[in-house]
Amino acid sequence: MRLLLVELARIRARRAIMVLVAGAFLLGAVFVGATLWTHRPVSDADLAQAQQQVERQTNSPMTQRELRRCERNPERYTGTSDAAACEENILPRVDWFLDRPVLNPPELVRDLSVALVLFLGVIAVLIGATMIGAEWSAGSVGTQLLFEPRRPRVWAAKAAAIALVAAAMAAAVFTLVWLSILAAYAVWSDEGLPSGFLRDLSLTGARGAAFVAVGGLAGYAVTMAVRHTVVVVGLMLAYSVIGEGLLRSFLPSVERYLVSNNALAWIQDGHTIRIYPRNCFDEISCRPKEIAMGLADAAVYFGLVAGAMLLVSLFVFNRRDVP
Amino acid sequence: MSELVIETTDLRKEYRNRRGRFVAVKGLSLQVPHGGVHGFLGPNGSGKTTTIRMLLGLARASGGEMRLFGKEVPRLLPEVMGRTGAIVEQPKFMPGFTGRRNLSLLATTLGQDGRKVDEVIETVGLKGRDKDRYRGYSLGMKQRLAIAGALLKSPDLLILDEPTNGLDPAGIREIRETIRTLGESGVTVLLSSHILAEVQQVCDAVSIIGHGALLASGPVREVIGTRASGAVRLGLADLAAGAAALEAAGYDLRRDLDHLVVETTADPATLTELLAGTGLYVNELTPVRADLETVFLELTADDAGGPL
Repeated sequence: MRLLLVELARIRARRAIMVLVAGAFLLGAVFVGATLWTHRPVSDADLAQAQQQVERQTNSPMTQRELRRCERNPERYTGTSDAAACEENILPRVDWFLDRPVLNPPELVRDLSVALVLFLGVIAVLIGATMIGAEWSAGSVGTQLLFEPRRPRVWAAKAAAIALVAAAMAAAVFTLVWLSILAAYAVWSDEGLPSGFLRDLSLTGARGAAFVAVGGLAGYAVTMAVRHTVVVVGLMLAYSVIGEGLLRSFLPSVERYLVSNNALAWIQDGHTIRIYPRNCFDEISCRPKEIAMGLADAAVYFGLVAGAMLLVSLFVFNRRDVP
Repeated sequence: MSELVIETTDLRKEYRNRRGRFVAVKGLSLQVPHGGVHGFLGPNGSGKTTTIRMLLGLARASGGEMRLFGKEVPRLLPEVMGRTGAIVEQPKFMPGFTGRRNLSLLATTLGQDGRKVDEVIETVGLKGRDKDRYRGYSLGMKQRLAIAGALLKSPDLLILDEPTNGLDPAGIREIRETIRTLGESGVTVLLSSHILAEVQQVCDAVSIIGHGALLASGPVREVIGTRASGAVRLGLADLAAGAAALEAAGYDLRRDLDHLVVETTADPATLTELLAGTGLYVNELTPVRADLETVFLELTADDAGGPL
């Protein structure tokens, strides 16, 4: 417990980590801002602006010319011989300029949460990597071992601190994002939320926090083994930018073992992978092969992958000489 | 013999790299008794730091046995680490943290409060600079902070690897006095240093290693005594005539500026008698004493590199 407190204090004092955590909250603010801006209700000013645009476009020579052409030959434009239908078909309407989705939290849960959790996961990997990478770089791990020589304890305290910080960060950002969205919804809409929505949202948040914690642990485990932050950042970029793409291209059968698909299955409580055939001739042969992945599949996957990484990391830390 | 604080038996450390196998420590059997300051000398690459790192659990031994306070390490290291303060090579702390925060984190690891941190900061003379970031410290200040860290435990054994590195003359003197005081107060200090005069000045006993093996060990006087020189330095008005007379009598000698150095274990009176017999009168006669540097260089003559 004492070691865990030391590690938490160490994390709190690390400026780079605080910047990453602040970045996570900023990211959440961007998500909220973008979501609320996209779904904002139509104001009187918006309506007036749309009406102005309708008037301007209605009076434009091009629209009037098109209207006259339609009236001369309505059959071609409207499919009927009624010239009065031309106005309805050719002239702009206010709703064309107010094409704005309505804020609907249940519809947003899935996509917004997935995007948010994946970004937070990347930040957590960086937190895990930079925390221990900086210690290796400074050589302070050796100094710490002069005060607590039981390496597994030191390793476990650092891992627990990173998992706690990553999970707390994810939970806080997730909560703030959804509180903001639900507050806006309460103001903008008279409709209530469907029953079970808050439960689903809480479960999604809990799974998200667990995912982000695993991300932090993965960053920590690999950096602890290789002792360089840059290697971990490089590996993460290589895998996400090139690795999955190459695997998808050359080995479609490994789809169910890709991190992204398992992440989606975990965060969304299930995911269906569609693998399209490379060559197909008709509707039937062109149908994609569907693989359904459940929450349990993703849990086993991440349990095994993270478990293996952590075990290797602990083994290497326990065995190798410390500079 | 008094209780041994450090004991290694046939200690061995091998490194493997692309070029093959490299033996850094080769069957080192070292004994450091309780109390006093024990010097640990050896040329570059002789295995001093590797030995210290193995004792402290930072490096894994390839063979042999080690004991601290009679406890087998690294297996029982947790039982004795609370009594062992150490600085290994360069001080290593988090550069973005203040000196105080670095110490506070280590103190919390030990379950200590801020008072002990204040105390050691005061002891090493870092008060006033303790709230500066470590990266802004001079090498001397970093060294002081490392010593403060080692003192946090109020250790019974202090292992210091080049503790005066980077300190200014006043700082070196302070640290030497601190080491001496600690040694006299019952703390056992193992001092690895490349400054031979410092070791001779501060240490009660010394162990000299070369090629990863022990070459000599014991109280400083005894170690120097084993290599005691039998030479005497003579001052004469006519050096050439004196040299001729001594060579004729079969003495082995060499010229040293305006003196003659005569290698002899005989009573110096026989020299003065011989020279007086030829009308030459000695105006200075001093025994040439061996010092630790001489002994060290003799013992490690076949080791590559200079002393460290």
